[in-house]
Amino acid sequence: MSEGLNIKTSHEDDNLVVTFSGLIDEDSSFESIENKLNGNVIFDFEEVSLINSCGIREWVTFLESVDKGTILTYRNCRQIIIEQVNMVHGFIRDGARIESFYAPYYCEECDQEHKVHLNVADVKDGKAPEIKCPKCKTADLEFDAIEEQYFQFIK
Amino acid sequence: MSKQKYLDNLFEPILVINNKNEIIYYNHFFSTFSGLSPRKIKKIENVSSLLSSIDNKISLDQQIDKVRKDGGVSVSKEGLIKFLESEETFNCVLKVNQVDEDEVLICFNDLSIEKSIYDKYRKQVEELKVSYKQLVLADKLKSIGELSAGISHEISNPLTIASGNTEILEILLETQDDLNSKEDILEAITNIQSSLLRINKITLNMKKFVHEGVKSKQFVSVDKLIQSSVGLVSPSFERLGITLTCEHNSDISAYVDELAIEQVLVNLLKNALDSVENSNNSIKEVKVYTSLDTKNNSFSISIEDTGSGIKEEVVDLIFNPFFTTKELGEGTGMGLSLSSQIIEEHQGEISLVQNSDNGCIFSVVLPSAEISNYLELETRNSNLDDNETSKVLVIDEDYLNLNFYTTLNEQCGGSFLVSRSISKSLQLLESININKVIFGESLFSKDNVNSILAMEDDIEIYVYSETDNISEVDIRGIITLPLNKEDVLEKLEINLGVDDEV
Amino acid sequence: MKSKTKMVSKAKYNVLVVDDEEKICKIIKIFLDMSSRFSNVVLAKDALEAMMKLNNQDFDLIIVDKSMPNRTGLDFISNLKKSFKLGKIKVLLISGCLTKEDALVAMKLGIKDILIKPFNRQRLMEKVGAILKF
Repeated sequence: MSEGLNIKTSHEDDNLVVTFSGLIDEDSSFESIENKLNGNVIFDFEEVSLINSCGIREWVTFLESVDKGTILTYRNCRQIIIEQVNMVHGFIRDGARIESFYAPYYCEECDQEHKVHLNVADVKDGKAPEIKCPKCKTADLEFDAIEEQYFQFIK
Repeated sequence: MSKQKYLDNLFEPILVINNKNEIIYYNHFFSTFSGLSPRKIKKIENVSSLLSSIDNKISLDQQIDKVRKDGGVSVSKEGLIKFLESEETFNCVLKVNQVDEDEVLICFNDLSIEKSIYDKYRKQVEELKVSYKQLVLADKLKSIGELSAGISHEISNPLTIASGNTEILEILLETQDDLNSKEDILEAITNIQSSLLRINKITLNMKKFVHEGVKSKQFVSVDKLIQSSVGLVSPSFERLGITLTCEHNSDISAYVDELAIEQVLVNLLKNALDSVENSNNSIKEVKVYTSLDTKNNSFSISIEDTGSGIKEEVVDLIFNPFFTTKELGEGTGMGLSLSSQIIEEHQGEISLVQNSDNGCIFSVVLPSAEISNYLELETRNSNLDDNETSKVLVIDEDYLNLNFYTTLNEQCGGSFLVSRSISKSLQLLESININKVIFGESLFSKDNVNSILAMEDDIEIYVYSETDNISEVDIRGIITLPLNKEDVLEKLEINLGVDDEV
Repeated sequence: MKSKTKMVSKAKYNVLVVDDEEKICKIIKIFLDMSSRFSNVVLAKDALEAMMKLNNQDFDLIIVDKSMPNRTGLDFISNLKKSFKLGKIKVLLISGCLTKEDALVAMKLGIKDILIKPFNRQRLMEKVGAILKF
């Protein structure tokens, strides 16, 4: 079992995509990408399974080392990340853009929770967009968190 | 409810309940913290069903009842809880207070991260200690490597002299018949002997250096050893609700490096704790007990746990360095390997004597205090030297006195043999040449003296100044208390290891 | 053994033995004296005494211990070489242990061979014989 943080980089057109997977906590090290980020960089959090306040601390320190001229985009932010983002300043650097994230929804018909992938653009006025249940296709999903709190990061 | 809206800004999760124990308000962070969405919280009819205590350290119901009855605030102990429909556990403290007639405020102080970091820290400190010990050992080995260059140089000269002289002897005996060669022959023999003595001293010094790892041994009661080891681990046992019991046997004593043996016992107790904690067996208990093996002059300390045992396929590996069943970063696996090294240095044995689904028994067997002490004396002294050191037997139950004599041995070359009982002393007298005996106060009696004299009638008897009834026995000398080196050596007529003819 | 066209009486050699361990000097002298090939075996306990002996007499071979207190065997030979006092004298170095560095230095100084302690008479004589070619 190799827990911990895994960092992979790849290229997509003009962009450097940095994919994080695993845990972001007190043991995480961002050494492998420190001082290596330039130009357009996309952070992908699709595979992050856990993040805690110590991890945020490590992240914030790492972020401060990223060149100010680098353009950052955050993509596929998991719910646990959004929850932490709303608690601590610095996770999202000033000037950085969040592209997409996951939001919790619930289908009363199926009695099932769904983590729905949303683009920031879909959220208007701090309200959760209407989504149809991907399973039963008929029912409207209910947003399963507190809107005012969850969408705080979308200024 | 809007009166509490400002509480949504708090970083601390809180709830407000009414006098029917229904949740009438919770702040934003409470939802995130508990993982309960508004939909789920709505379904909770009574706050009692909101959470459950895993280690029984927290009872929310009791806290609520208390503040309703007595007013004021109730702060819980630190405990493990989990919320409805979730498996995630939190280590927190709950604070409950009465806001007004109807409303009660419940606050959560989440200490989960603090605890996990603290536990990690403690583990890492322990691992560092182990690594440090390894480093010291590696460093010592390196020094020995460096030393051996110096030593082979030191030994090469006396070796050359000894072997050269044996060749000369051969030649002399072959070729010369006349008596003139007798002097040459004697000279060659003397050269050989003195060279061998030189070599012997060098190896004795080597031995001393290597054994410096086991620091000076002391006489100590096994009970005390166990008590101090248990004292170090009992908070962890308490925290996890696992029982730790020790059987007491005040009679067994050990001659050991106290701190080192404590380290071994703590290691075994920790392993037992982990094993029980991780097992699903209903009984959660660790027992420590001792036993005396008079036939083999040894005693054992056993640690029995009710864990799930050790898997068959790894049983043979457990004493190997770096072997561990724990997760990466959780344990270096040096514990049992170092422990077995320490026990080996004490001429003892550590082994797994029982292993099943219902738990393990580890046993540490050590030679009796008297034997350990005697072995140490024998290995320390050179048996080639001409000096005759007469052995003095000290029969005393007082640990302080016993350790005075062992210190004296280190300083003046080992004449004092120590024993805590008459029966053991008689055993020693059977095979060891002893001409003086010192009796401690508690063991002095006419009968005891007579049984000693029955073994060897010309033994000189010494007692301490505060002993009673000494007129009944023929005493050679009285040693003043408190013990001091000059007086003891003087009274016993010992000249720093060289005995005067009496 | 090379055969010679002329009959020559066997040469006798002068040897200087330098070792701070007096008993070893004595042993070497006893061993050398047992063979008939040496006219003079002289002992010295350190470099200083060895220098004095060298000033009084010619030697064919110096047997010197590497590890001596005030000046080591290698230093002694090195000084002799630098001051041109070594000449054609051959050198056998004896030592309890020899490192690679020591061996290199010895080779550079032209030391003929090394003998590791402890040694027996046979080994000593083999090496001495090989150096002096008898």
